[in-house]
Amino acid sequence: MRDVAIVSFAQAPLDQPPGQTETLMLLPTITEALSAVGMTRRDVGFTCSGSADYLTGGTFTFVQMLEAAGAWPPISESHVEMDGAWALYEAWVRLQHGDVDVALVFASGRASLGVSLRETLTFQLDPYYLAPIGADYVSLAALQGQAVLARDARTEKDLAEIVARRHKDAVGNPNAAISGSTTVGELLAADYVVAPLRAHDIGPPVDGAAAVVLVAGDRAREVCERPAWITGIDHRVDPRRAARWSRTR
Amino acid sequence: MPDDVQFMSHHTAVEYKIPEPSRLTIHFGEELAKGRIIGHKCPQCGKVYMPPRGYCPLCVVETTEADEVEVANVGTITTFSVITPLQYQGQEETEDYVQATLLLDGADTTIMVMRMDGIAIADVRMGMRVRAVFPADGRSASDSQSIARGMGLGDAVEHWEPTGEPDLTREQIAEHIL
Amino acid sequence: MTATWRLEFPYRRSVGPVIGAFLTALRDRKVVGVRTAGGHVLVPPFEYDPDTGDAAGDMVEVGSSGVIVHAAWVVEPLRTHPLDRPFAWALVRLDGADTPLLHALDCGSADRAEPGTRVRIRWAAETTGHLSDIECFELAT
Repeated sequence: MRDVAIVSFAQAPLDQPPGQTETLMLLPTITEALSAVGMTRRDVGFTCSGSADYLTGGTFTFVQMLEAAGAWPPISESHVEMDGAWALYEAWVRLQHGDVDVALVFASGRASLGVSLRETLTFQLDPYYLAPIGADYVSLAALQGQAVLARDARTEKDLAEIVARRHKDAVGNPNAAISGSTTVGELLAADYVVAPLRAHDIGPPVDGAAAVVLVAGDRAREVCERPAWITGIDHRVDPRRAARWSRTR
Repeated sequence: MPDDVQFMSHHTAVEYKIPEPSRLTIHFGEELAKGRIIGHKCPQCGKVYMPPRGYCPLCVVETTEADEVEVANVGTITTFSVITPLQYQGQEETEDYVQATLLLDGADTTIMVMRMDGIAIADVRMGMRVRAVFPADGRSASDSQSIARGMGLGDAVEHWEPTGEPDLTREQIAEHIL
Repeated sequence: MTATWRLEFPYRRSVGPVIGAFLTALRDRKVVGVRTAGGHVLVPPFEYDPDTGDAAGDMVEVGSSGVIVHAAWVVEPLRTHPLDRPFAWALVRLDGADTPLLHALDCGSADRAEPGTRVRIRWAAETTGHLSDIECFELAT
């Protein structure tokens, strides 16, 4: 196996001009990620992007975003209809082939354009047993949450403590959608959305873009003082049946 | 068994907000309402994009107001289709019509699906020189915003008329046919 | 105020012999699962055993009542949920099944949806061979 490291990361600022397109969020973000390690788009051997057309309802919208990657002269690229994490996994796999050393990974999404993200994302679920009853991702996460709390003998207070810590950690990060000082008491006093989850337990739909540069082997050490070596990576697909999601073994 | 369930209906409906137009789209529409067609000229390669998209996809650099140029309201038909409308449910067209791809003078990109209703179908040809005629009373900027999306000028132009100039040759428009 | 647009697709999905058998049974107000090689009865049924990947075996009828395994209370239903008033999502292991079925439980309040509670299927007035033939679960007291 080749050693692969993350050498650079960039994220589009949360504050974007009105009507900003994903392509224009991505263009400077990709430039920033590459420039940070002294590279240009010409140094990239493989490009992989992740996005979900369902977020905006436009088929093949990801094709236009490729222009932010610089698709002329033609490049070797792939797209996953999901997210950047999975695109990163594919790029990591591609680098194992040994013929290229540098991969560019990017992702974007405008989740704010869906009137109900919960309804939209239901379409990614089993069409026979889950989608017909509108079992949405928040509801399914809530069932998982109930199962985990029961299995580990944890409480909602434990969940709230995590949130309070994260809110505080986020202060000073200009790209954090939510940050600040909240107390466990305040958090527990909020209404449920689907128990045990409250609004603050659920990530809000945001628009954004990010890019990561992966470099294999010694090249990583050449371009970066402290490469973040990927020592393990895996991806799993949730099983079709909701019941297995709440099995805690 | 013949009575077994074999199919399941699933009527899916997803609702989206119409994204607000970008400042550039709004500006493009405001200029169109005045009968002015603008593009962005890439500061690196010099290619002119109309409608402007805020970046040059070849150089992968952003373009701004500083890169704004005016594009002529005359140009050349590089290719066209004569559409015979199928009378499917919801179809509003009944007569044959032409959709043309135009390369306006000063632009390096074409605009597509432009109606050529002002020109007899038999006269339409590749290389033909045409001029935009804007509505005499102008259009409101907001009309133009919604129509400036996508591939061309929408219905900002009232109609296109031949200029009477000699046609461009196929070689001259070869790069802009597709 | 924001203008919206709607993307609609009328899908008609083929269901195959296993899911088809489940839906056919629902139309008759019955529930069937599939027995795996290891002897487990999976409800709802899949064409394969998720643990081993083996093809599923025979269809087996299970009961219309069972116990709650997990439940999660919905404060404000989405318009796509089975009920238009607050309800509990419930994973219910029907009598004779080894895996739970997910559906809405109409029980009035969250404290009535504890794991271990017995519930039963409330069948729809008219059944067509669709998961909505189960209108929801209700308390079996």
